[in-house]
Amino acid sequence: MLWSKGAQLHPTAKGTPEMLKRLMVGLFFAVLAAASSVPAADQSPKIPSAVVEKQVKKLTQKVQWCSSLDEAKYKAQASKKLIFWLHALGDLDGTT
Amino acid sequence: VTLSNDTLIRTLNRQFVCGFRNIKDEPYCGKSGQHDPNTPAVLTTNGAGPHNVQIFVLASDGTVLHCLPGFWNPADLLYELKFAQSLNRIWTDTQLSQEKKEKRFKEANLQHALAHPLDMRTRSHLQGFDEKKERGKGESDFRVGPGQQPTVTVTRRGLKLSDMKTVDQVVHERMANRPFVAYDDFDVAAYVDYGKLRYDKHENDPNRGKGRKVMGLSNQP
Repeated sequence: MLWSKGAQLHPTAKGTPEMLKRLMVGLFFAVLAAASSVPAADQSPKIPSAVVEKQVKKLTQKVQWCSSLDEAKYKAQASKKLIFWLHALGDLDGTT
Repeated sequence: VTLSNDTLIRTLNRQFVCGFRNIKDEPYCGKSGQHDPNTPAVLTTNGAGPHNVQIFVLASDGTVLHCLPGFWNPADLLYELKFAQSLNRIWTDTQLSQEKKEKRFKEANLQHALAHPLDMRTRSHLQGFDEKKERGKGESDFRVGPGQQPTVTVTRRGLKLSDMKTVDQVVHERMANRPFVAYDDFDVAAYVDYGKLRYDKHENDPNRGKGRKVMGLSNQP
């Protein structure tokens, strides 16, 4: 069991230290199996540029994107769909 | 990269009208290194880069049902899109008063946050530099409050307890305070206010991530 540096249980957290210890031991075993399937989030793997280019092309070719919210609302009302509205720094093709 | 996931593309095409807005001139927009479509990308944690990307789900009248700041893993994004669809059922329920709709919106957000699986919470931890920034603030809603349980996530070495919440939790808490707001009235700047404004993981640095895993073409997050 690891504690992040400087992390503390809040003083008002319920339970005695013994109860807390038991809880943590239980929790540890409960998530042990899950841990093996969880990628370490800090690894931040890189995706090669060729893959990025292919995926960007897929995104811009396979999805029809509106540039106007009014147009999106009109289409959504006509088709009874919700609107997926993306804000991003740069262009949709990935250029910033 | 997230949005090019096949399942996500199918879902977007079948169930949503998609739209895009370049926010480079917005005051809340962060700074970024220069990128081209053919430069490598970096996979990161849910909610990283909140000032540069925001994913809104709007009802067909433009009401904000959900807003996810920054990067999101495709599976987690799909999970949140389904949640937004459930909120739309509340929004369009003609039997409910506005007051009841808002109450249900708030409850639904808080309940959904509690139900997030451990692996999703683990994928949603703050980046180190963002956590440092939040810890440096006098007040931050990322801090675990009095009476709240510490955050549990999984690392390669086992369980980790923290006094800082994960982004997936804070997103729902912030949304709970913004029930069915019109898109034009949504305070994006306040909503995405966490972490550093400049987000640059030095993707173009040839020495960055030496020896780390390189992802192949797949539907990885």
